[in-house]
Amino acid sequence: MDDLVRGLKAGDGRAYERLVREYGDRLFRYVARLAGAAAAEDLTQEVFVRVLRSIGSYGASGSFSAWLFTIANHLCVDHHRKRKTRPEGCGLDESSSAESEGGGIRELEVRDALRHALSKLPEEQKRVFLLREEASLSFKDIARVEGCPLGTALARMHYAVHSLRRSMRAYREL
Amino acid sequence: MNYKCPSCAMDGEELGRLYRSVFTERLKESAKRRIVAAMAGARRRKPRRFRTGAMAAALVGFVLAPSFMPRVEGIPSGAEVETRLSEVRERVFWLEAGYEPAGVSVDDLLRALRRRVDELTWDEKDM
Repeated sequence: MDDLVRGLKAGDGRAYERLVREYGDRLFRYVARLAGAAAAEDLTQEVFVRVLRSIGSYGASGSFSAWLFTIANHLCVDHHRKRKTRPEGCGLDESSSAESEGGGIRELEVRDALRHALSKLPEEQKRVFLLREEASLSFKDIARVEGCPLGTALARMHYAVHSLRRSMRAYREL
Repeated sequence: MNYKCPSCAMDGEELGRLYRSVFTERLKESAKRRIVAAMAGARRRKPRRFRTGAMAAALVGFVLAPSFMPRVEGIPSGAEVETRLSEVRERVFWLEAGYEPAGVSVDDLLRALRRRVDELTWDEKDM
């Protein structure tokens, strides 16, 4: 078991901070793409609070990242159920992205296109793609989070990548 | 071991780079501080609940334990000793007063006691 998990189990305040510093941004982006920008901050907080409440039941056998993103996944699904509607686009709005990026018009255009292409993906393909690119999970862990066989996770990634590439063909030179 | 889809690994990597280059949002520092504070709060609540629960359990145990304690044959409980002692004291009182209390109501006993006192008084007078 690594130091972070040990610290969290012991209730060490520095471990909380480390957890938020290490996983906060990735988790925030993942949740924002799945549940929408408006709810992303609150959902991210809820994920961390749940992690802390259940850390006692976390065994060292699985990967901590996979466990954390499984909680995030469940919360996003619950959020969708409560709202009964799908989020618009796939996440952060124009202003918040531009604020953090500060990029040029071309970059904004690419971001917009990628966001749009991502929002068109079927939910399970979107989740696999985000777990790979946002959460940097291995496919083995992605399969664990999604509760599907490894081959299914790979196939979903394969279809997601092909769809995205088709949508992003115009920006190929980037 | 990290698995990769053999047919799209290269495409995926390229797309991943593009993805990471355009999406770099970060949680605000203030949000991070709020989250850490919320986590500290969540952590604090648990021991407090535990302490309250433990205290309640100890209290209930303290009050109820004597009634659940296994009895040892031949050794009376404190309450039994008290009851017996008060019975003995009462019996001694009435015996000293010259009356046998068994089967007699309290009112009868009080009346008898008053009579006895009166008699004693008269006896004393006679003496």
